[in-house]
Amino acid sequence: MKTIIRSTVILSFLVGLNSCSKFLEINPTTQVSEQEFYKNEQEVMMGLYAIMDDAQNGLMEVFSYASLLSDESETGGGIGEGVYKEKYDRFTFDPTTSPAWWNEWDYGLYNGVTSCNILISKLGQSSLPATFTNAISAEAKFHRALFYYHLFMGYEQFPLIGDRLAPSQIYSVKKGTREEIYQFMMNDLSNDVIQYLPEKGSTQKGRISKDAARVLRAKIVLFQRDEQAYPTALADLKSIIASNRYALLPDYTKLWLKEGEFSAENIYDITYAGNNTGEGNGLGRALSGRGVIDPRSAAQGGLLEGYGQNTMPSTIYKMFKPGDTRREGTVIDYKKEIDKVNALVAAGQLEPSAAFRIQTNQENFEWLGHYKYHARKENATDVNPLNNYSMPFRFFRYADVLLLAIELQVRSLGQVDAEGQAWFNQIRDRAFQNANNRISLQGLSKTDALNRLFEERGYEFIDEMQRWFDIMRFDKGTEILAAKGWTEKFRYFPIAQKEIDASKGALDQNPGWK
Amino acid sequence: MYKKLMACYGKSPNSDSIKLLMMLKFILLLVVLSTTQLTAKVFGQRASINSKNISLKRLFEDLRKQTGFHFLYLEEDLAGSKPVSLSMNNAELETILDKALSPQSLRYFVRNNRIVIEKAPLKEQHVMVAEVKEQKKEISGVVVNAQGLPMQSVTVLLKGTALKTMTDSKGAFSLELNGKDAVLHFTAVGFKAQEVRVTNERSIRVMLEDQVSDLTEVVVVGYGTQKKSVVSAAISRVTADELDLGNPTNVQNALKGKVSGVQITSESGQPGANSKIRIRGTGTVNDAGPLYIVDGMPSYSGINYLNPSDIESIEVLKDAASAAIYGARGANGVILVSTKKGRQGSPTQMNYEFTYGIQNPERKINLLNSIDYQMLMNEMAQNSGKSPYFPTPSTVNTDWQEALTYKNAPLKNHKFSLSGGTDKSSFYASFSNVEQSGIFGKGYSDYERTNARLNYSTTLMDKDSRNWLNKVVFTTIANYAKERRKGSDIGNSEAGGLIASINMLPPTEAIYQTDPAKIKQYQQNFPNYIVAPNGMPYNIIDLNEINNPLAAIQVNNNQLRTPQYFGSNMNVDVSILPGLKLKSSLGLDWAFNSRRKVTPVYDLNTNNKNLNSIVEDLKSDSKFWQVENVLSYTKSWNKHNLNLLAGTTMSSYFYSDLSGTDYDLLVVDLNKAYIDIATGDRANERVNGGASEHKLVSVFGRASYNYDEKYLFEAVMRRDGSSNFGPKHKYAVFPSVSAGWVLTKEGFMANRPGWLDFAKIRASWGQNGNEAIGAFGYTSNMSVGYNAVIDGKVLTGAKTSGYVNEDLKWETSEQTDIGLDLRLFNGKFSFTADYFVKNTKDMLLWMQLPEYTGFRSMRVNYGAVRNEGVELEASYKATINKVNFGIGANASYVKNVVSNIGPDRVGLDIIGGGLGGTVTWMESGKPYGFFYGYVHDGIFQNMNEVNAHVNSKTGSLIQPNAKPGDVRFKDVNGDGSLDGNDRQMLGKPNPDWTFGLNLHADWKGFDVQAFLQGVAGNEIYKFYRRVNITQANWDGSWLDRWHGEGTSNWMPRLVEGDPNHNTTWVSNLFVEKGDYVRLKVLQVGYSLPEAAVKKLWMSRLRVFAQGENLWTWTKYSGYDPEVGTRNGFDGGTYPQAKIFTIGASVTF
Repeated sequence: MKTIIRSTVILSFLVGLNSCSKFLEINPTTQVSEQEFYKNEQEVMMGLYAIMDDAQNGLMEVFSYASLLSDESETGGGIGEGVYKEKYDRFTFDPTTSPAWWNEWDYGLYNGVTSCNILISKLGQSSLPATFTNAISAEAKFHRALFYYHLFMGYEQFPLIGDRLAPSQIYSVKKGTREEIYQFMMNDLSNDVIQYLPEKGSTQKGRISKDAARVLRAKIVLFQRDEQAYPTALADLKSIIASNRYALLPDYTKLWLKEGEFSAENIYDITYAGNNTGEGNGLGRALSGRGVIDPRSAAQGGLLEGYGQNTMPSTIYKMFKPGDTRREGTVIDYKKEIDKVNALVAAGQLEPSAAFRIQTNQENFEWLGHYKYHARKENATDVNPLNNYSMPFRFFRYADVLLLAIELQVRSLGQVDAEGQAWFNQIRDRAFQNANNRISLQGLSKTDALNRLFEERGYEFIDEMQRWFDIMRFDKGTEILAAKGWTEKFRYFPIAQKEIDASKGALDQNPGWK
Repeated sequence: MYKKLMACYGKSPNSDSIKLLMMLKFILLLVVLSTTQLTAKVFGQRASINSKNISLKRLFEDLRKQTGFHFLYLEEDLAGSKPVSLSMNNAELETILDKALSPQSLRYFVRNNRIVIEKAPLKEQHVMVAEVKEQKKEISGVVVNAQGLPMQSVTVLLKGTALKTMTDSKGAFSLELNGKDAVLHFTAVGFKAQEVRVTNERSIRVMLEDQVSDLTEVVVVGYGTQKKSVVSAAISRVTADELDLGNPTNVQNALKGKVSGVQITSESGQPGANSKIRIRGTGTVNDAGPLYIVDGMPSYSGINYLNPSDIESIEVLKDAASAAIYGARGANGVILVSTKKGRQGSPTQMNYEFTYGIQNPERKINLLNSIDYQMLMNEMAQNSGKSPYFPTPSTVNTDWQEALTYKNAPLKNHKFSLSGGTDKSSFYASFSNVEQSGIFGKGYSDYERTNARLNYSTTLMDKDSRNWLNKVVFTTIANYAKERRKGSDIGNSEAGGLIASINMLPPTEAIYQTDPAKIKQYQQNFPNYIVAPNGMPYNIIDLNEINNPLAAIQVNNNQLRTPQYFGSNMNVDVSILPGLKLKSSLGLDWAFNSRRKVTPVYDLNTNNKNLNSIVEDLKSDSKFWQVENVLSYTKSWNKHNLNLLAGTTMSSYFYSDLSGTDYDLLVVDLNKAYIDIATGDRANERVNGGASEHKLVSVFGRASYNYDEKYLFEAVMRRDGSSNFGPKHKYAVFPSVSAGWVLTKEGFMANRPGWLDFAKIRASWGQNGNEAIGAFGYTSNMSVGYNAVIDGKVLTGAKTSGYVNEDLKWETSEQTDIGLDLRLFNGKFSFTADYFVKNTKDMLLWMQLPEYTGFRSMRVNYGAVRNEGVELEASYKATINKVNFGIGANASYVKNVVSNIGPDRVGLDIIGGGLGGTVTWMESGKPYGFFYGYVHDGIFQNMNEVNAHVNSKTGSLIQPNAKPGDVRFKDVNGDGSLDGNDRQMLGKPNPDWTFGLNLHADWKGFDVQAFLQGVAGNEIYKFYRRVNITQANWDGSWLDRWHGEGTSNWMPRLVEGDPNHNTTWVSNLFVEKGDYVRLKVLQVGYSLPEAAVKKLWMSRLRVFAQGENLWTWTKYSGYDPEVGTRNGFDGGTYPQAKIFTIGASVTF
């Protein structure tokens, strides 16, 4: 007994008085510390993937807002559900109700900016080979410019954060002026930077190339209306055209199908995956028709369902001129889908009982749908398809290069030359599948030419996250959107009151909303 | 052993009918402890003494060595004793003691193998039992305690004489009386004295009641116990009797309203739900819940897994002085739970209790019926320029509250316990099972808990022959609990969920779909529509997240969670030298959780579909160990009493989990919710897992000193090291000091009025810490899951986890307390009051960051919260005409103010989705979590009023979007425009007053208890209708909406899109008073007369009926004024059930 007691006493004291600082050292179980990270190329790549994640999710949130703001869609969703989007559709938003794409939900463009800043700062201190770090840094800077560009088009003024913020800097950020923000984006896309980007031919699907950077640069120049930069931007686009790396896909309507993915027309795609990874294209879910049940197979062009959150208005359908294949390549007429299915039934290619069904309980529903990013069986997996639609988003197309180049010609030279006319003919010929519908831009006044270009961009780019920005760039707000309530005040969003509150005085409201 | 048991009850088995019962007892006894023995024979011991002029102490020591009996006495009682000279050989112990003590004004009695020496009452002095002479009549009897067990060593005195005797081990006594009529006076320490008049009886039975005297009461303090009379800190104690009132199913509910300064708010009325506990106000934004210590072990699983009946007492350490011994974790107070132990030398006692209850919602919300709903919907459409929603009236009128209520939901509770002890060991064993169904969602909200516990203590060594290393006691506790939760948590969310559904579902929607055409449509559009168990298809309600809730729970709540807790403590108490003790303890806890779920293929509505059946299985386990060594030293000399304590403790907690999800099940059955039931493509299955760790190392010490129990001093110091902090701030020190002054001990108080028994004033100051944050807040880690798709492949991205605060350190709370304890009128009235100021600084806060930072929040040490308040506790007991009354009341007032956060206003609870933004905030000078928003300033009755609401300088409209019927918001800052700067404080979530009132009366076996509890001075932000569910129902208050000039000046018009922000701005339109008083328990019981019970071989049988949450007085219009989940923000709270219970409790 004595021995037991003695050993208990001694042991317990030994345990109790053991050195404790070692004991208190614990290590993260499912994470690694930042200091140990970014040490090799694979880890740096993981930093880049995080940035691309922000492009694939956060950036694409811009679509639904911009689509409602413009005339390309009406508030959709179930009956009554859209009340909250109507503020964008009808221009009734204000600082308390509109964070918009600064950060309305969990995604926001600043998440992307931050991801870029972190990686760029890490690469600045990296001892990895310069060929590698320069290339990845350039890719991060492209994305930073891309995120800032959309903030720029949305808010004009906002905190311009060019580096990873230290905790002590959080409440001392400064809003950039329009000029500062523009210069910042142009620096991120300067030749010094983009020289490290790969050529299109050696780019993986979903990653960027020099050409993508050039297109983005041209678009930013145009939005900023930096006349001095027009010639360089034009030269950039001409070099893309001259490279012969790209061509318009002959059939506009096929561009949006599986066979049109990563075609010669695509310059930059934002990509998605199926397989229940949760990395699907959210637009498929948001835009596709409610409760679509389509008996057709993937090969037969079977469609899948979505929430119908942005309703396709008939005004878009009616806008197209007869013979323009872009109408069928932009708008689905669900009634025609019913007919197509019935025809397949009649031809014995589907069961006699098979029928195409869609629910009509959608706000402002006119039996029309979004063709380009409608969910299709060819792009879905069996499990949880709604979250696994895998069609890539054709972010920059060669058609845009052509039309931007013409626009730069008009804006810098005041008119379109023969080369520009030839580019325009390519667009028109493809759209109408013949050369009989060409329109001559040559000889038009600058204003008329721009008006004509704006109209053509409308036919070409509905549902491609271009329309709202085009309306603003061409100053067509009053013309097109006054009926919906647009006034100059709504050119840019206000900074959300929530954000001003959280910034502890670092931010004040933007002009126009004060 | 069988015989001994019989002997204990003084009878032998003579009836076959009870044999079964006896067998049961016998088996249980065997199972629990084969060593159980019954009270040993006490007297009959002999000893020899041959000493001159020895002190009584010395005599007792000699006698102890010879007889083995321990002597218990208070030093002060022996202070004036004279030395004794005795010469006795082989004399009976009684004889020796009589000789030694009778000239000393002292008396003795024997209890539990100990001889207790105490001062004799004046009358008894110089009188000896042997002086009794004349004998005329003999009375005999038995004395029992409240549990019906025989009491030994009770003094029985014939009133008016010196004639007295003591009860034997069977509680029996006999006394010869002088005449026919006599009054017997029964006394025993720790029991209320009782007088019994005897006339013709020859034999009587007397029951003595426990005397709860606060003066001798002992309270549990950190690492030890203290006499309540010398405690100088603020500690409240709740005993088993108080806790057990109302037969609670969980401990937190049992504690509600019973302790001043402790506010307990239920988070949900769902069975098994937790409560929010705040001791002395909300001290921090961080985890403001207290530290739970169960039998010395900190509990990571709270206390709700315990069986309330296993608890002997709960001590709430409220001030810094009492909690400082728990340093790092004591900032929000400490709740010490002590479970029941057996008593050494007490006979085995068996107790069984069964209760059955039925539960119903306490109240119904006033929601619109179908006709009113249609009227308002059409009116809203009209106001919005739309065609009416119901051009032809719908005849459907569904009461969704009724449809989802599980009427008379059952509650069953079985409790069984067994306790007892021998002279060397003691045990307490218990087993219990609770089954409770939720009052909503029948079959999908079921709770069951099973508890088993064994507390065992044994003396390993007790050597009298030396005074060093002479005693070792080993104690072990083993407990097991298993919960079974079927269904899902029915959360309190405004976004969706059951309660929100009830609030928003249109009454025009039917439960079932009976229209064949519609069903046909379902078959086409919703091929996986849900069919109810009764064979009828559920009506599909297509309002986004709001769908048919009956269908939704049927497909989404097939979940079973089975948390299990296993805990064991082993303690060794070693007496090293006189006064010096070592306690070493090892505690081990394991908690296992399993969550299994199946989801069938379904179409609930357009936005809620599931195309593949799913099985999910999650397992988690956590391991915790703690090693503790505490040295304590007690020394008393003259009138000095010193107690020193020093100890070390280290503990480690590790948690890990693993979960899997797979698809396309062979069969959808909750009983088969295991991954292998899935047949889906393996590429689709998902596996997740994670782990976390927490370690603490501490040293602590305490010095207590008192002079003559008059001047009390105590100092505590604890140094903690926590793995949650970085190298810069791993360790922190927490000190405290306290002092007390017992006025009634002072000489100048000698002539105090007779009603003033005891008065003490005390004061304390100290610091405590809070480290309840996750690990690695001080360093930046990479987090993964930011995935990109390249070339069709999903690639895992990584990003730093956020902003890093390397200087992250302990949150500190500093508290000053001044208290007063009074006992009046012979202990009938007791009163305690405390005034405290508690400052929490460097709060560990998840600071919401501006979104341009790219991260939501960052951990910082930021700001301070000051809680200042008063606590009052009073109780009164009296007996009038054989009716015993008791009343206990407590109340506390807390004033809560946030300070030191500069000009910042920090958002806390948010209504997302652009539906209002942040509701609750903290800001310097304001209460924590105050509501902040726009001020409703009436309704625009007409366009003229809209046009009159202008900026006085520019003449522009302040509310340009307003139409008649819209809310006029106050231009608070008078700048002529309405923006964020026009918001102001609209209310606060924390009450000023929290109170409880307990009433008790018993008479001749009948007893009645009532318990009320409530709060006052708080507000609730009630948000039951989301504007983006256009077709959501309204509550009755909307019938008073504006619908024409002069119709309302408070409720605005109905309009879609809410252009004027009538309902999408945070405003006082949603703020209501949260005061309530609730009749928590009303219980009536009857204990069967002893004679009747005896025949059934029981010592006690009580039956009772009770109602719980019978009535709530409140003006709040929501389901329940107890809003525990978010700071007073109520998006639909699962209410407390009203429960009617009947039960019976049997003691053998």
